[in-house]
Amino acid sequence: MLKTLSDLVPNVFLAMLLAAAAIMAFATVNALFLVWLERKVSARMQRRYGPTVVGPFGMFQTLVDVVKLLSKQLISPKDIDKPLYHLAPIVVFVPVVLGLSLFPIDKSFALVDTNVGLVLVFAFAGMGFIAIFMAGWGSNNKYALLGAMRAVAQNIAYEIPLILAALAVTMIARSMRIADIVEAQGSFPYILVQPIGALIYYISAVAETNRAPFDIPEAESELVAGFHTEYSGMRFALFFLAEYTNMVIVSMVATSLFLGGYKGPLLPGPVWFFGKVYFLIFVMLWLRWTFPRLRFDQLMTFAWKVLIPLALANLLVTATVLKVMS
Amino acid sequence: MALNGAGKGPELKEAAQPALIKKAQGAPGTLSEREEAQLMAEAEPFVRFHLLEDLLNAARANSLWPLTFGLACCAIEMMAAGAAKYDLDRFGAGVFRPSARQADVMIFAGTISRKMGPVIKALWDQMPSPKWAIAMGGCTIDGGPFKYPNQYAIYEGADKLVPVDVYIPGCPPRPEALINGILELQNKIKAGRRFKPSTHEGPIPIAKAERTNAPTGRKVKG
Amino acid sequence: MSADTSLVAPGAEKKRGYLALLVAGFFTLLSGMWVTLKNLFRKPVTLRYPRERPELSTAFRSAIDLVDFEELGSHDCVACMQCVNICPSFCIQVEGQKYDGVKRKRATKFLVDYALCSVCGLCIDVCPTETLKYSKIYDEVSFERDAFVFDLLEPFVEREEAFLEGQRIADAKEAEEKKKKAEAAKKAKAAVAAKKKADGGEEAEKAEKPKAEKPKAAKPKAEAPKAEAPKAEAPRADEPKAEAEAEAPKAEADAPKAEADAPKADEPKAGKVDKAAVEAKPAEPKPKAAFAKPDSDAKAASLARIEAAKKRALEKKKQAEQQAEGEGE
Ligand code: SF4
Ligand code: SF4
Ligand code: SF4
Repeated sequence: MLKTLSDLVPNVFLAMLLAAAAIMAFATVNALFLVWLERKVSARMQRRYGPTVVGPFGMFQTLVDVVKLLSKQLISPKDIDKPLYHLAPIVVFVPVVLGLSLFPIDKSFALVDTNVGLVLVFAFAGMGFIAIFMAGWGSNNKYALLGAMRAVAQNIAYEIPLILAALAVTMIARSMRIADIVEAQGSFPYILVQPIGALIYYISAVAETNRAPFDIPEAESELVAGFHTEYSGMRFALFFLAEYTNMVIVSMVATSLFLGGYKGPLLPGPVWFFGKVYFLIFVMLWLRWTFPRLRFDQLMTFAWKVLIPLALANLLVTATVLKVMS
Repeated sequence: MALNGAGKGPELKEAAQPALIKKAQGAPGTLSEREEAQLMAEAEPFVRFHLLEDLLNAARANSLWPLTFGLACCAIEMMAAGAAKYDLDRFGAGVFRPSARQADVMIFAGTISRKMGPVIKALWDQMPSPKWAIAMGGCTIDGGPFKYPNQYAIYEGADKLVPVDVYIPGCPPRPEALINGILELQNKIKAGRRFKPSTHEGPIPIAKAERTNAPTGRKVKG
Repeated sequence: MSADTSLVAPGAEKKRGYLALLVAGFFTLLSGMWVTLKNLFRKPVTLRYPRERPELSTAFRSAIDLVDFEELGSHDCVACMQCVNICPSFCIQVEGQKYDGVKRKRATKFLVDYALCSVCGLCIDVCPTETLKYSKIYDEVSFERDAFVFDLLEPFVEREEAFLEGQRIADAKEAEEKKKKAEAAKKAKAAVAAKKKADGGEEAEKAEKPKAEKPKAAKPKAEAPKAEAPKAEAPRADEPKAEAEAEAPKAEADAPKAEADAPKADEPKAGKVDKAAVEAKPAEPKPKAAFAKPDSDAKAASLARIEAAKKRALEKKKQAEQQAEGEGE
C-alpha cells in the first residue's frame, strides 16, 4: 500500500521538517543540474561545447553561478512597492516547491498523499503567476509591468486547456488522487487513450512555465528581462529556481497522468518515474532551443482558438465514450 | 570621476581611507614599487577571510555574465564570440543578460556617441557590484577612427564614463581577442587567489602568413 | 470554425481546413525538431581558442608593421612621412635622421597607436619603399589604456648599427660607381651625340634619358656580391627602362616595369630601392611639424629603445605565464 512520510515518521513536526529539507535539497540540486543540462544541450544543438572549464564537463558551472549570485549586491530600486517587491521571489518559489511533495515516486511511497492531489498541484502552480504579477507590479518598471501582465494573460489562457486535458484523465481514472490515477493506468499509460489530451496538456504546460517558445513574459528582445528586470542577485536566482522547479512539476504531472508514473518493466519505480520526468524536461529544452518565440497575439490565438476548443472536444468525446462503455 | 570605484574590490577597500586614495591618485607613477606595496599593505583590511574571498573570486571569475549591449560594429564580433565558432559559454561567460541588474560585466562594443553616454552611465549604475567593464575596440579605448581634433560626436574612450578593467584593441578585434580579454579579466579577478591559475601552453603565437604578393617580389623575412 | 489568419501564411487558409492546418503545422514543428536533434549529435564546430589557434587568412589585416627585407637585413623606412600624412586616424608617428656617410634618411622613431588605427591600409598603399605590411596580431589585450602604442623599430634596434655600417660602405661604393658611370655616360653621350648628328634630331630625347637613369639603376646593395651584379648588367638593363621611366620615376610604377625587363631577381631590386631613395630625397627636408624633432643623439635613442624592448619582452613573458586556463573538456 502507498506509504507517506507521516506513516514512516511518527512525529508530525519531524516529518514536516524532513519533507521540507528533502524537497528543498531536491529543488536546488535539480535546478543546478537542469541549468547545466540546458546550457549543455543548447550548446550541442548549436554545435558548440557549452560550459567546459569549471569541473568535469563544466558540471559545477551553475554552482559557481549561484555562489556568484549569492555574493552580488541586492538592489532595491527607487519607488518600489516594498512588500510586493520583496515578497515576490518567495511567493514564486514556495508554492512551486510545495507542489513537489504530492507525487508518488514509487508504488509504495509518496511524501504526501491526499485525495485532492491534482487540484492541489494546479492550485499551487496557479500561485506562480500571482507572484509574477507581484514582481512586475512591485518593481516600478514599465517593462516588468508589461511582462507581468503578459504573464497573467498567458497563464489564464493556458490554464484552461491544461485543466481540461487533466480533467479527461480524471474522468477515466475516476479519482483526483494522483496515486490512484497512476494505479489506474494498469498495463498501458493514458497517453495511448488520450493522445490529444496529452499533447494539449504538454503544450499548455510549457506555456505555463513561461519557457520558450512561450516566454513572452520575459521576452528579451522586447521587454528587457520582463517581470524580473529589476531583480538582482539571489532574488533573481529564486525566480530562476522557481522556473526550473516548475518544469519538474509539470513534467511530474504529465508523467503521472499520461505516462504511467512509476510504472515500467524491470527497473524500480523511482528510476522509471524520474527517467520519464527528465525525458519530458529534455523535450522542453529541445523545444526551447528549436523554436522562436511566438508573437503575443499568436500566443493568445493559439490558446483560445486552438487549444481550448480541442481540449473541450477531447473532453466531450471522452465523456461520451465513457458513458457508452459503462 | 564619481563613478569610479563602484564595485571594485580594491577601490572599496581604499574608500575607507580617503587619505590614501588622495596620495595614490595625486601623483600617479611617482611612487616607487616599494612605496606602492606598502600602500597596498596599509589598505588591506585587518581581517581577511582568505578562503572565502578566494572562493568568491573564483566563482565571480568563472561566472561573468555580460550585459546584452552592443554599441556599434564591434558588437558584431561580440555576437560572433558568443556563437558556435568561438563559444564564450565555455568560460561561463555566455549568459548574456538583458537586464543590467543581472549582469556582471559590461562589454563596451562600439563607438560611444555623446547621445549614448548618459544611457551607458545609467546602465552601469544599474549593474549590481561587483562589476567589471571591458573596452572592446579602438573606439572604446580612445576614440579610435573617430578621434580627431575638435571632434564633437563621441566620447574618446569608455574610461571617460566608467572605470575600465580590460582594453582590447582592434577595429574590430577578433572574437579571439574578446575571449582573451575575458580570460585576462578572470585572471585579474582571481588575483587574490592563492592557487596559481593554469596557463595557456606557451606564449601567444602570431600566425605568420608570408606576404607572397609583394608587388616588387622582394624577399621578406618572417 | 475557420483557421486564424495570424497562424498561417496568407492565402493558405483558403485551401486547407482548420484541422488539416493544425496537423500540417504540427508536422512542420516536428521537422524543425528533427533538425536540432540531428545537430545535437554532431561534432561541435567550436574553435577552442586558448588551446587551438585560428588559422589567419593571408588577407587578414591587423596593426601595421615594418617589413624586414632580406637583402637589406632591416626595414626600409626612409622617414618620408607619406604614411603619417595620409593616415586618417593620426596614429603614426615617424621621425627620421640623416647619418653621416649614409645616403638615405633613416627612421629613428616609428610609433603606431593600434588603438586608433582602423586598419584601412592607406599607409601601406602609399609607402614608397613598401616597407609597411599588416601584422598578424589578433588577440592583444591589456589592463592599460596606453599599451597599444607599438614601437615598430623595436626588432630592428639591435641591427641598426650594423645596417648603417653596411649602408655606409655600400653608399661609398655607389658614389665611386656613380663617378665611373658619369664618365661612361659622358662617353656614351658623346657617342650618341655623334650618332644623332648622323641620324637627325629624332633620337635626341632618348639619349638624354639613359644619362639620367644609369647612375640610379646601378646602385649597389649592402651585400658586396649583389653590388657587383647590377653594376655589370646595368648598361643592359638601362636601355628598355629608360624609355618607360623618363618623366615619372615613381616607385610604384617601377615594379612591373622592372619585372618585365629583367628575369633576374637582383636587377629589379637594385633598380627599385635606388629609385625610392632618389624619390625620398625631396620629402626629406620637411619632417612633420606635429612631431618632435629628430633625436640629436641617435645612439642614446637606440639604447633607450633597447631598454624599452627588453622591458617589453619581460612583460610579455610575464603575461604569457599568467595566461588564463585552458578548458576542461
Ligand atoms: S573600433 Fe572599429 S569596429 Fe569597433 S566600433 Fe569602433 S569603428 Fe567599429
Ligand atoms: S591602416 Fe589606416 S588608420 Fe591604420 S595606421 Fe595605416 S593609414 Fe592609419
Ligand atoms: S618610408 Fe613608408 S613607412 Fe617610412 S615614413 Fe615613408 S611611407 Fe611611412
